[in-house]
Amino acid sequence: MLDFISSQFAFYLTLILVLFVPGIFLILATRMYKEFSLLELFVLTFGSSIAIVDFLVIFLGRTPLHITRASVLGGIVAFCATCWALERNYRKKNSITTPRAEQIPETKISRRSTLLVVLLLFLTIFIKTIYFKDAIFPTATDLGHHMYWTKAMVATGQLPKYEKVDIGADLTIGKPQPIADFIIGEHLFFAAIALISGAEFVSAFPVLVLLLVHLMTVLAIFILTRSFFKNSKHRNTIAITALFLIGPLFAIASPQAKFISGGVIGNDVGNLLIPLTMLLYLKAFIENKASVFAYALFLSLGLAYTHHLSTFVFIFLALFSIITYAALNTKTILDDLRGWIQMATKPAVLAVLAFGMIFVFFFYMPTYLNTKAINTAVGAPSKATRTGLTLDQLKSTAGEARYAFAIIGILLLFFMKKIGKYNQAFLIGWTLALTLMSLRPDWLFVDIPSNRIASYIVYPVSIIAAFLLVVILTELKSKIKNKNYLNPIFLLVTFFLFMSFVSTNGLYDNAQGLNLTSSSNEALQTYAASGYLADKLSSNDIVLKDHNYLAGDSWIKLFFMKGYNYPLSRGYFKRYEDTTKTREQCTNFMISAPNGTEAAQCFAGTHTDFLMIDPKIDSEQFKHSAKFWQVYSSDAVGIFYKAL
Amino acid sequence: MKNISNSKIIITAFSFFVLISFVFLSLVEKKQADINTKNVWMTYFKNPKDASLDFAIENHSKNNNFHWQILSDKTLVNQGDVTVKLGETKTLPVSLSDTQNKKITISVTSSDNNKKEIYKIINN
Repeated sequence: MLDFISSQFAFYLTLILVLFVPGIFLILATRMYKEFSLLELFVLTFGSSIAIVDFLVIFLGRTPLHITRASVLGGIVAFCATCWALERNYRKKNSITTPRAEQIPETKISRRSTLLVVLLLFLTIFIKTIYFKDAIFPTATDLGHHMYWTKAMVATGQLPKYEKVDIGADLTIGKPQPIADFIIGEHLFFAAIALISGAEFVSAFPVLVLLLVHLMTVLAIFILTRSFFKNSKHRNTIAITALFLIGPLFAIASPQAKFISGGVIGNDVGNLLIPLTMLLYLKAFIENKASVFAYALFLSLGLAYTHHLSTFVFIFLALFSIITYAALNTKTILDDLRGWIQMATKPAVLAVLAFGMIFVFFFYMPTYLNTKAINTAVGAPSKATRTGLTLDQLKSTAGEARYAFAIIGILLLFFMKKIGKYNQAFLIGWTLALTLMSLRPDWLFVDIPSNRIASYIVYPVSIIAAFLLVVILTELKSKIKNKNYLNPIFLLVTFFLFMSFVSTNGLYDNAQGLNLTSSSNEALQTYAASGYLADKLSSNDIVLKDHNYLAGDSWIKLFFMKGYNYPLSRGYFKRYEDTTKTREQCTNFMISAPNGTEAAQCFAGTHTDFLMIDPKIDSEQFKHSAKFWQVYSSDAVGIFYKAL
Repeated sequence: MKNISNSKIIITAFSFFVLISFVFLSLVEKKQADINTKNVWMTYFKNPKDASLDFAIENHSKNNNFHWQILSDKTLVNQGDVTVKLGETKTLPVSLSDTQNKKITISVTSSDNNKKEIYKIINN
């Protein structure tokens, strides 16, 4: 128990040190504390820290210091000390004596609204915790893949080389080839946390870090909604309604808790950084502040180093926001453009751009910035899953109730110039970009799975649905007050009807997503068998495991640490029947029909000698051959050795 | 209470809820990660790649008593009982002559009749 308590302390202190402290000091150095309320700063410090730690670890990985506990700790301390010195110097030079805390603008929110926010946050965290009690044990495939790269960084002290080997046409294991699917920012801050806290990879640590990212996203949506509707007297009501629609309701379906337990790291961090950058750009444009614009650019860079799809989505929503702004403000657009150019050429902005270019060209170029990766994302949709969703599918992704309100809300937004011209353009642009990318990707030459893009729409849809709900209810209320021809009962009934519709829909969605049981029993047996095999393997041994029936199989490679594709894997059966792409068949033959001639050629070519399978399904074919020994037996895992 | 800003209340409450949730989930995960609560056991060869027949029983179940048999092809050549307590692993040495070209099977049965087999076919 003492070990548990000390590991918990180490973990939480590390979370504060890695995910809050660097951001606090950057906000100090850039004096952003004068621009944002405490609540906004709280979320900004978190998002900023992810970006700072990412760049810091890349920098360390490129120097002889390497990525170690001491170098990461030292790097964070050095960064914070530099920021502190810069800020102190600025205050001294300008004779500023006002305490920093007094320079932070106060959040204008009533005590009653505050309590409502606290209650909604409680419900949000409570519902997600209930879901995670059966999903906290790490078994998810994607998370296993990501944690392999993180562990590789921790084990070697070097930045990972994203490469994998495949079985070639000659049935031998080929040379390592680059993988564009993994983005380094997905692994850097996890590596920093693992190094400093000493947390085990097969533990709650990865899911808890992702859950924290997600909960901060929920808060980010709340503060962004307040920012979007800052000119409305109902800004807090709209933000609280948005929190209701994104927090306790629809709390589990993708891209919320399901994405966390699934280990979709890039999307999760992208879902945090997109609203945060939007908050910053919104303020920068409204108040024409180059320093805020520079800060927004820095976070955008952090996004670019974390997730390609989110960056792609962000580029589109920025383009759509600009187009919407131009279309709604034709008279002022040229003057505005001049103002934007002036802001974008200020020293702070140019400095961030220079920093980004130096990083891309001299330190680390994100893996997706190669022609092959770009070609796979841009162009005519190449697969059925990329040709766009139907309206019905989009409705189901966005949540029926939210979607219903958002459709009318977006129409209303076109006529709501009073909310602010930038606010209006950003909100419409964000929603339109995602709607078109999801429904008609061919119009935009987007070649990315449509359901992945559609998952981003949940956030703007919630904000717009909240806006419409509040507009309807406040309009009804004012009519009752002023003209006295509507019965107050009508307002009450409308309120309860809307709330019932939204709540039952959102809670039903939650119920659909709840797990029945944890798969930890089977996964633990997989990990026990992996530990056994890891002790026995020599450099010549090649392992093949099954992805179809083994629980937690993507985590097996963390026990071996011999490469991303070690062990080889029999994938889902449909992969081997893919008519659009020729795929190697060896991994299927060697488990499904190990005594056939094709399998014999595959065994000879790949030198595979250990096979990990589910004994209930795949052991009989091995037992019929004198070539294989069964060397390990448990309820969920059998290991066969090819002796001849 | 009046001096505490509303932002601070939200941040403090949020941090408190997150902390409670994380501690709870860590405890749940700790329990789920304990293989000794899963009522499973396994048997394996100590040396999977050579002709050695020494095997181990790793027990994470409530059954402490196991019966093992060694079969050469289908002929019983040795058997015995062994007690392996929860969380323990016991290695059983096997020395057998005349194993050439025979399937040597180690069959282990727990007291609740759960049976597992491992085998080697030794050819030189």
